[in-house]
Amino acid sequence: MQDINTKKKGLRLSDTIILLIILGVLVAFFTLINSDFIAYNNISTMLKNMVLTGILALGLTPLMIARGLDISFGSSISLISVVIALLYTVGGVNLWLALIIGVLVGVFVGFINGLLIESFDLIPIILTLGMMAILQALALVLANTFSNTYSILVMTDPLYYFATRTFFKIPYPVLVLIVLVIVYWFILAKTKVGRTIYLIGANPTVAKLSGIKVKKIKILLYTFMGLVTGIGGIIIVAVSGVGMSYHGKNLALPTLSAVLLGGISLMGGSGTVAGTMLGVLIVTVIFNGLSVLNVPSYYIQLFQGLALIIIVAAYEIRNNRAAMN
Amino acid sequence: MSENNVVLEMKSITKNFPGVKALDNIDIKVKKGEILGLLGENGAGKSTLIKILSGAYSLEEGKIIIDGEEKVFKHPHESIDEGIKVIYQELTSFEPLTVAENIFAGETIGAKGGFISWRKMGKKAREILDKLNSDIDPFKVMEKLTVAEKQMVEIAKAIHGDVKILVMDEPTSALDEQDVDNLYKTIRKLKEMGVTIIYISHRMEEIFEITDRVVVLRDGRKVGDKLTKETSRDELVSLIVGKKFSEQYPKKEIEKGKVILEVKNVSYLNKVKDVSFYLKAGEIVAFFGLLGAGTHSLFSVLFGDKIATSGQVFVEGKEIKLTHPNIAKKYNIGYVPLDRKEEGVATEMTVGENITSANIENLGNGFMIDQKIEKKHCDKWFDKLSIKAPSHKTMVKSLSGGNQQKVVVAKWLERESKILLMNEPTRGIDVGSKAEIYKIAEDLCEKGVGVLIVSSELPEILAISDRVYVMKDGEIIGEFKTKETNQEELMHLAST
Repeated sequence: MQDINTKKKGLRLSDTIILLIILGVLVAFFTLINSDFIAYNNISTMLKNMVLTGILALGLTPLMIARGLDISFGSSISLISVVIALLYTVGGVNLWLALIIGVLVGVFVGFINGLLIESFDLIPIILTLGMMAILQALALVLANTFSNTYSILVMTDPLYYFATRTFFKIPYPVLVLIVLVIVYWFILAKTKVGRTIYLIGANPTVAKLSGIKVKKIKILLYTFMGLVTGIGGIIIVAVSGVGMSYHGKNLALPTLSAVLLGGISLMGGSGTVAGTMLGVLIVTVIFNGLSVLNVPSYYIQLFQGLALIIIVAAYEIRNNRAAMN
Repeated sequence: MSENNVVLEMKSITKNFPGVKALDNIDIKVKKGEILGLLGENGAGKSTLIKILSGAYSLEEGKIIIDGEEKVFKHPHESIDEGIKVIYQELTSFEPLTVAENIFAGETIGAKGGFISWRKMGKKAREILDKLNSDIDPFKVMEKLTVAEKQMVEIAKAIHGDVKILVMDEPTSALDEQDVDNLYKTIRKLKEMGVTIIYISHRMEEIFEITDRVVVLRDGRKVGDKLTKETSRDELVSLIVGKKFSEQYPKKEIEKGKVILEVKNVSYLNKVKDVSFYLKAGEIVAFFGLLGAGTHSLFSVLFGDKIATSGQVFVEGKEIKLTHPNIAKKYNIGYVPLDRKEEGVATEMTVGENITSANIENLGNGFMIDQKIEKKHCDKWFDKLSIKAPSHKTMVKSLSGGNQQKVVVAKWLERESKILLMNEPTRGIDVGSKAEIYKIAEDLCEKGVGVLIVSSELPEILAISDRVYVMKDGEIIGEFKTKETNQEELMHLAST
């Protein structure tokens, strides 16, 4: 009547340990092959690469715990980066206003995703797949119409400083991630809202019959996913110095892999911020390690696909075993 | 009983569920061509016994012997191969398919090179239906049939192929009297064909009409095994209930207060029609109706889970618009739903999280959940309702049905509900927990809470309620003071 009955929420202690061991083995492996792997420069690059996946994975965590899903964030980031770049360079809008409008685009997209899914009981993966195509097309159309290129330079001091300078040796983008991790952890683990999110995920009918406005809260979660996507949009413009209509193209796969690896289930109800962040670390280390080893990028993509399938299969197999016992 | 024509023998069957002994050392023998009535209240163990016979539950202790040979069924398929077929209360047909396709479910009759011959399939289905004196068109789509016709198709499906033993679980629960007569004819016909029938029913008159022998189960034990012609209705009733229900749960006289809930002309689609009633503080009011009478829909409407198409609801004299359970909760209405596992508790969460799930906003000031307050709230209900669990951090799925039900009740007591709706509050829970649930309801009444109950168990209704409303086809067709009515009157009204 203990461990299995009292522990819960996806990330059991043993899971955390397994994920930590995987992480340790991977780091050791890549370091042995190429000692540059743990050099300050590479770690710093890794952390910066991790920021975007990390922020998006955080946004997905409560959403997926509550049985929602969003796969349109990659295209959304492309669109946001293009909007910011066009407003600033072509439109001559004040930088800060451009950034705020960019974030609002993300928020709006998230809100529409949630509103449509919850109002018409649509399947999230299908709706956001459609949204993904629409946003991608919008990004291309905007970029082509207003600048004749798919990549628009955004040269400003504040964004450059944000991307390159550090605060007590911590790069600013990493600092943003840390702040968001704390906020999300606190909300999910400690607050009434967090408890409500887990209850919705565990059983939406019970949640509704407990007087919880399930649809309203889920629309809110989609909207917050849009908000972090907006923040991600700013970071990608800052770090790369361009707004580009393909910026977010390769984000969906590593982000979803990380979230699922961290113990979030597509069936909802389980997952923690700690688990998600471990998932993000592992995914980052694998793909950074592979590029340090000069593995060609198409192989990396092959690994990404393979990793996603293996992760989902492993959890499924284990759950089935647990159910049988 | 001569040994050589015993077709089925179940020997010392015992089955344990967490916290409940569902079956305790049951011995049953059935002869070829015999119609055996299986009697007992809900939760007496009838369904469990049938599920073991059909292989849906694994056999842990005891033996199943068919035609003198011991069999072990690991899957319903294996019992079907042995000629044991079960027709469940909730019919399990493929609605969009035709009658013939349902009868042959999965088999391809007259198929050549991957093509099905619809003509041959129809002809074969016709032959089977003729045997049963039924004139249903084999090419009709299932969803267009009446309940009685669907049942006939189920029987046809069962007798196609080799059927030795046909189990019928409450086959008349959704039939009118004409259909019941037809069903009897069919059953007698099957008996002539040498089929052994195990007939499960609540209804006395059916037992005397159709069975040769009756076995009575109570609390998982066999308490009676009689030839039908040698027993009497009174004897069977006392075997079924043991001590009389009303003696077992003597009702306290509780003073009634003001009307706290008044419902005026409420309708919901065609499921609830123009329903009006009231509930006083301190009162237990029961709703009784057969399958499809609208009692469940009425409760969904009263809790705002479904939105009434017309009518008014007043709580303590104030009209409220029940557009979401949230509103019901705000006006201190609590709801113990029908399907405990799907609607009552979140099984993958802890006891504590479930108890406080309707009251999250009060678990501390501000945004945060105060663990200490949460524990205090939980402990209170652990004691008051004697919930048997190691701690409030135990997962709900590891609790017995009775304790899970107490968790659902605790959730609404935690909200200090003034009106408690209980939909089949004792379904599938053991006798001990049942008594505790009744006691809780009574205690609530003493504190001025009004309780509404939907129940399909008349003895339960008669024992604990003050008033009864009988529903049929979505309408209230009768109101009784519980003291002034009886089981026969209520059943008769509900079924005709």
